[in-house]
Amino acid sequence: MVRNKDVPVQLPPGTDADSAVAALFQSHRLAMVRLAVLLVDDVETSEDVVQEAFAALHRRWPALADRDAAVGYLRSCVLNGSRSVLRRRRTVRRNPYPEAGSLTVEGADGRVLLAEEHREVIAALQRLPRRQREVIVLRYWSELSEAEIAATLGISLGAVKSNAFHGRHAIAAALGGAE
Amino acid sequence: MNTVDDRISAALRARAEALTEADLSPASPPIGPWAQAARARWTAPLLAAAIVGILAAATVTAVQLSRSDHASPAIRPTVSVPSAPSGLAPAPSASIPGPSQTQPPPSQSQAQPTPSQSPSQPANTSQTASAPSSTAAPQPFSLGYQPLWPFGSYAEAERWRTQGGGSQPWHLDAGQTALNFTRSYLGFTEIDQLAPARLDEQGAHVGVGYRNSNGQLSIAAVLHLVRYGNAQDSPWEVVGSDDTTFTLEQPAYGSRVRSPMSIGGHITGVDENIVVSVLASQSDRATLARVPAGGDRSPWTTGRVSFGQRGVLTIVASTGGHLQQVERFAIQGVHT
Repeated sequence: MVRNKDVPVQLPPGTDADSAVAALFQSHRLAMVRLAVLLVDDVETSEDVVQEAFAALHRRWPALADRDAAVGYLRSCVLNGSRSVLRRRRTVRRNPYPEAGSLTVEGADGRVLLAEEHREVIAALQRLPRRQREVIVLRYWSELSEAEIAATLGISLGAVKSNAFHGRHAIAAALGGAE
Repeated sequence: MNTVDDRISAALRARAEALTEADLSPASPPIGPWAQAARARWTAPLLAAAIVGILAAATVTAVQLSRSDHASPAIRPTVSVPSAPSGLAPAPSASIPGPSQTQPPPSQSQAQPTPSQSPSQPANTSQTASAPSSTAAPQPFSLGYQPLWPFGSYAEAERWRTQGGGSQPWHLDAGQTALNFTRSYLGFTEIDQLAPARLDEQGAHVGVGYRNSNGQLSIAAVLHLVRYGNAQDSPWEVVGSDDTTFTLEQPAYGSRVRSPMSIGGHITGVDENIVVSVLASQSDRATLARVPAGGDRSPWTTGRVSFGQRGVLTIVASTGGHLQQVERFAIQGVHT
């Protein structure tokens, strides 16, 4: 099941920025918003982050050397945008997450409560340091390889391994040490 | 995959896939003129920031002017209760509220901490160059708040004013007093920036903070200071903090405490690690608890903690670790 891995987008050579971004927007907007939601936990903010990411891609398109890497570039923009949101939230002292006990998500039919077992994991994820959280999301949701995560976050492979290990260990501990 | 990996994947999938196309707001791809307009969206915040900067500069200038001529009746506490010995502060009148989220102290009859600890770094004295003037014997004066730093009593403040000979002129500068309190007394040396002060009839409210990695000023706390005396050159005294998203509410401001006590408040933030300390003087301090916290106005508490400090106590709660060790703090003045 392809759910969040990069969906190949066939763009003919010479595709202009408007056409390329429109095609990518059509095919990847939801996946990018979902990625942002896992990081900032707010749909409205996530939509803004993703919109900014597509706008950045549009501006960057003429200079983008490897246009097959457009999705990766988008993902990096979403990561950076989400990070900025969290930083601003700290500055203004707002909470990026609802309290763990009342964690809900907006579903098509209203507010849908996550299953208890999932809430525990999400709550543990929220308590991770930012970098560990990003690595865990990219590994388990985006299903990226360690090398891809390193490239996306601009960190070393060793840092990816370390953050993944510690993040996973912390979540496991929060779940009662289940392995 | 083992159990933990499965559970992480399943939880992230459930969280993300709860969001469908139908949940997204209608939006068009940012192409054509829109993409250019997106850049212009930053113009408004930049203009707003410039306006705020100009207003801030004007406010600072006003504060400096009020200090330089030593005449700032508008920012003086208006309470004057006769026959209050130094260190004794009867309850103020209702017209003088305590610092935000605190109540005025009920009574103070205890020993005061050693005053006038010199700052570890020379304060900027360019704005307060004139020496204190000698005046007649102190008139009865009640601060109306819990005096925390740098003076333990009105007598000490008057001694500096009348006999100090112009030493430590930063006492006349509310901003520098707030900064010295933060850096030298509390020991939060990473905090080295001042925000524009706000003056009202209750005193000065001075933001202290730091520059984040983007060069933006982050306010760690807003300290409340009052003039310790009615003279034009009376020094500033730290009496509390104006807390907003990180509060220290228990024990109540100015209350009498005994060991063990519970310390708590509310916090808005994520991944917070609150460190709670108590100070009786610069050298008599103790870290009482570390409390993980987070949420939206979530209550936090240390539970009952023991302490051995006596006299007027400054309880300090700080949190940080995201950008630097101390990013926010709040203080509460109490006494044993």
